[in-house]
Amino acid sequence: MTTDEVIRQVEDNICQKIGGYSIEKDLKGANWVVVKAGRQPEEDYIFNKRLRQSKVSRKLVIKAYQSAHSKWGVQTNLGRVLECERECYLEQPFSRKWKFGRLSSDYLIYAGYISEVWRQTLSKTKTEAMDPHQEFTPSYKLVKLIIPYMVTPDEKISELQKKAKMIYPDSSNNNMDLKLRNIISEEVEGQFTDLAKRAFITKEQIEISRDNRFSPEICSELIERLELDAYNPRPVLDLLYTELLTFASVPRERSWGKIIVENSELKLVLKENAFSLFDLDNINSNRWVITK
Amino acid sequence: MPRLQVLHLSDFHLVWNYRISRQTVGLPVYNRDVLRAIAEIVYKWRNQIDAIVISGDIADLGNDRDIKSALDFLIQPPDSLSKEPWLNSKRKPTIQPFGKHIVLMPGNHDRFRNFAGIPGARFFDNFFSSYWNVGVGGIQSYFIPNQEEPTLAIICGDFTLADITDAEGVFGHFGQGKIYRDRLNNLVSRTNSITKSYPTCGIIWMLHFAPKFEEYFDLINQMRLINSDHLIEEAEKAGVRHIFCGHTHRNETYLTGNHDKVWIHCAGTSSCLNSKDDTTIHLRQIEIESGRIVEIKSIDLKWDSGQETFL
Repeated sequence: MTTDEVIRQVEDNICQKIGGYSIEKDLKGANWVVVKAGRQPEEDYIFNKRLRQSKVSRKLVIKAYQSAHSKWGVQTNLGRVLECERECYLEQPFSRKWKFGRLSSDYLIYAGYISEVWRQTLSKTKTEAMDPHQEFTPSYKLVKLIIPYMVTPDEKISELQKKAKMIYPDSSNNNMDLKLRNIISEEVEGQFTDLAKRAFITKEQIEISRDNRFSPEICSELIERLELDAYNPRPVLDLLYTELLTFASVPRERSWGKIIVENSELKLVLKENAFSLFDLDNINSNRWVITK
Repeated sequence: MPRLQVLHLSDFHLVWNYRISRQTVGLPVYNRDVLRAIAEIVYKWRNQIDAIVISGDIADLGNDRDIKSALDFLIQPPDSLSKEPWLNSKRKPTIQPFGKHIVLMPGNHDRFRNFAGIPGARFFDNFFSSYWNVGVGGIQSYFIPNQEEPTLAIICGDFTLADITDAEGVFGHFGQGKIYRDRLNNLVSRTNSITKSYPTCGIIWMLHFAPKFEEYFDLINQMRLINSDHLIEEAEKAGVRHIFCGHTHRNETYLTGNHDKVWIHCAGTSSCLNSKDDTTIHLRQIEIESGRIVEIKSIDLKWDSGQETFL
């Protein structure tokens, strides 16, 4: 398995441990996703050469790795003296830099740095995928897919970022993908709650899906909610539907009821008193803050 | 003893489009589910509330498109055939059915000409002219329930920056307000005039910015109200004991002034959802006796995403 495949599997099969992936901290407390993968023949060449020579030239290392893995340009000894380091070009979900280390004669370690926020996301998805109270979290694939299908603002995102930084200097523009992921999660959950509330108020059944896709009404609402290009929303909606169907295969409980799959269609089940408004006529006196 | 019940809202940051894009880069933007919930609450409480007060930043930018979207929230008629009569025919929320006093004023964002935060935009004055007709730096009074026999006067002062050069420090023009002497004099003069003309009427000041917030809580320099001291001093002299405000997106109530006599009721953001923000709306019961505000009782209702309402 190539590292690309390993990473993709880590992302898509979050409940399973692939190749012994784990999260570890280095001496400075930084988080690393560590993947153990079988050593490739080209990598044998590098390490065998090292056994014969006291020092391997950096050029040789980089060249060998580039020929073996066209996207890679990094080689180092994990935890020991840094031989060389460059940013990795491989597209992967969490980190920007990957390091390699020799664990044993059979295994190499590929370790990628991840921020604390992503570590929590990863840990959470690993352990709570079956939790009925778990909120929907779009996959990395969906997050990346949505961006080109969203309506493009008049101003480029990079310009908006600069201006946001000026207005709120202490805000961080890091982890844009994570922010977008959280926003999408919020919007999809909001869509479900809105549908539930509407069904509760109007006492009418609302069709969410039909024939393995969202119903036309829900499509319109999602297009507006996620600011998709109305002329070409299909790829996003199809993937979103697939992920939601998988997500709801475990009945997901909410304060107002449940999201379930019934006869292969998404459905909402409402509690009898699913929604209630704050009652102005019965206010608990402890809630008042009095200023005289 | 007359008692009025008002709903204090603030900092909606309504936009005409690109909500998610703006949110992704960290700009404050409203959440549509929250806005819808506010419209529902306003509709269902419309007989129990005497007025809605909005302390600024209704739009996220002061351009015509954002300002118009903000105005639509106030005036778009609902879908008369719908079982959700706080939504218009496109299922967009509206508080138009409220029908009573809406007291509002501009915040710094309502005056932004563009994303660079240059102050002085006038679209707010044009579009909201039936609510705010005194222009940039103006002082406007609202009388509840009416001007003939008012019980409460809310005097609003626009202390947004007149010019970018009035800011202090780097990028101060984005979030600072300033107490200009001429505007403050106007505010005091209006207060004295109302006190004389309506001796039984209680008076509250309303600004967008939170005076002296940084003395009690964490606040970056770029968000503060310059010369707050002058405002509080004059409030104490004029006998004004309560000031409503917003801007910080933090729900706080604090006592300030040389003699600890002025209450600041700082509202959270009504419709933005960020981890650092207090997404809250505030029910305030105001008791007035002989022209004096005896007490204000407040309930801060927080956003509950599971129930999609404020509890």
